[in-house]
Amino acid sequence: MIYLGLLLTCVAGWLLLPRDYEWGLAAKLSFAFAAGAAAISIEMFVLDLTGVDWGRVTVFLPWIVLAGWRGYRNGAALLDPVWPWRVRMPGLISLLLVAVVLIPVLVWMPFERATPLTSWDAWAIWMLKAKAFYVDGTMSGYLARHEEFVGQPGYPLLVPLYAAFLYVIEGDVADGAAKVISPCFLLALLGVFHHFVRRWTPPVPALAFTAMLAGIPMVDHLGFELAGYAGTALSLYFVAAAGFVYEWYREGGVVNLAGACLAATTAAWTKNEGQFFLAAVLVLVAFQLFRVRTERPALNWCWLAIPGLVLGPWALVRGSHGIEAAGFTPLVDFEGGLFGIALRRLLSMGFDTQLYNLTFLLLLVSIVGALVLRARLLFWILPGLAIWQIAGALLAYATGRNEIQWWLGTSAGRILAQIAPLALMAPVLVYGEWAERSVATKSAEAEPVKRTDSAPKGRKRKGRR
Amino acid sequence: MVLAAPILSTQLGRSAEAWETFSGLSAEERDFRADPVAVQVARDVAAGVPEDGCITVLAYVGADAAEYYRGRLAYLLYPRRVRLFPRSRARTEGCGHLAVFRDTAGNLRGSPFQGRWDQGELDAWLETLEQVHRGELAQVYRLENGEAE
Repeated sequence: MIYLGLLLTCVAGWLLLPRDYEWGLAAKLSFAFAAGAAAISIEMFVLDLTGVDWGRVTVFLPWIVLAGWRGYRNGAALLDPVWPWRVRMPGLISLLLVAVVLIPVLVWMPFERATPLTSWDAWAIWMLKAKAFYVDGTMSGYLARHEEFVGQPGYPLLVPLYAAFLYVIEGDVADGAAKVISPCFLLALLGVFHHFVRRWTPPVPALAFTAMLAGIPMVDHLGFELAGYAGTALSLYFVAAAGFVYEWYREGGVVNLAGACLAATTAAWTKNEGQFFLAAVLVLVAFQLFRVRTERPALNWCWLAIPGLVLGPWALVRGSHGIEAAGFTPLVDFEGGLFGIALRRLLSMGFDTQLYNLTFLLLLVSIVGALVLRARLLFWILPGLAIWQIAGALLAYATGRNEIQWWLGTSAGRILAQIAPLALMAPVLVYGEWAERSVATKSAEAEPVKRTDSAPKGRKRKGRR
Repeated sequence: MVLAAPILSTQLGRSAEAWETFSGLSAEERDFRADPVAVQVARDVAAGVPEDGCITVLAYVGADAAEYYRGRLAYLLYPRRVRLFPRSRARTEGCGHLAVFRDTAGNLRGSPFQGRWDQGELDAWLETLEQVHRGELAQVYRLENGEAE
């Protein structure tokens, strides 16, 4: 039944996605899962706040109504691009690269499916909440007892409420089965990442970069070995929000604007680090809204209210139980020495190719490359967001809330793994820019030769000599 | 992928090993195989304490392990209330049950016990209590002062 729940998640997300947006089947399924998991967790939250019990009927009903309405409005077009004759088959090289993308997944998947829920953070924080919510049939039982637990009761709710939804479908606390959500978030991450990088580079490099992401050891460790933890979901929403905000700066469009605001809000609804990320995205969006005259400006500004609508009620619920969000305040409790220790550790880990492959090295190279290529100003959005997240982690470590070596030892690897997919987007952009300019230069060089084609043959041969 | 290949190769071996160890087992058996002590203690406690009950656990465990068992038993035994102390005496007001367990010798070698444990005093106390379940790793007793949970 857990797998049925995952399928229903994709269906729910599919119903929420706009029809007039260009995406392939893999990308649409990935966005559908991302949107579905977020929407279902918010639905569970709203049902609980309004006093409606979590049952299969109550949870499904809104989606059945939505499916009916969208089916009535859109008909068979709702299924685009699922129809087999509309799915374009990739070429041989692309198929080979798709296989390369899937190799790490296939290598890790038996491990994840065989092992039970064993990762400390996964069960002590995220899945304990999920179990408690399901067993109590409400959030308030656990929240009222929060002082009993060693986990972080103030952490956001996407993963616990989504896992509780899967338990409702299953009719039992099947934690070993439900932790498959992490590999699902990883697959969705690969699909969303590929969707954006495909817009910035040709098909083969786009798949090659996606294969590289799939093979980053710590990203796989986070998605499979630490399954049940919220890190991979956070990576997914980071990448989606960063991709949309970049595309919005580049092309405009309400889908990109809405996607950026919704995905960044979902990141904050997934983990506290997402709140730091959300702040950056909101600043970027507000800056652009001020700078550029858009159609229906009031409507565009409304998207900035989304975080308040989702995170505000949770802050109120948390506050009513006397629960802190994280237990520390970056910048207020700042110790420079701890910042330095954390910076050295993150740098030494980030540039370890055994852990993060070439990701952070490429991020550095891409920054240099962008300076050399004099990349457009909007390029800096992507490396800026990755560096912003790393800076946020450093500021958290600098609060000294925990013994620094222990804290770094137990979390730095995961923090960097969460950021790695986001960090890999900037190198793709620089590669795309470089490739585009190379093609343009070659075309420009070829232009005079083309002109000589129309000249007398003798002159052409002479010219070539 | 060239850089990732050796790591994936190692992981392939780990995956095969995990599959061999866990496949074919039920979810409960997998949990037990992965974390035998905590799961067995949870089974012992669950057999003697109702779901709406409270259990005070006196655990002869290492200092680091105490934090682990505190979290793990809270997870495995939810919605029961779990209080765990790495010592032989603790306040039990408002809690209806008491459990006593000793970690395995192997675990204690890794994380030695550092608290105060007076076995004679504990035995004398336990003799005055009604034992409700004698488990493989944990013994569960009813506390008379714990009705007002």
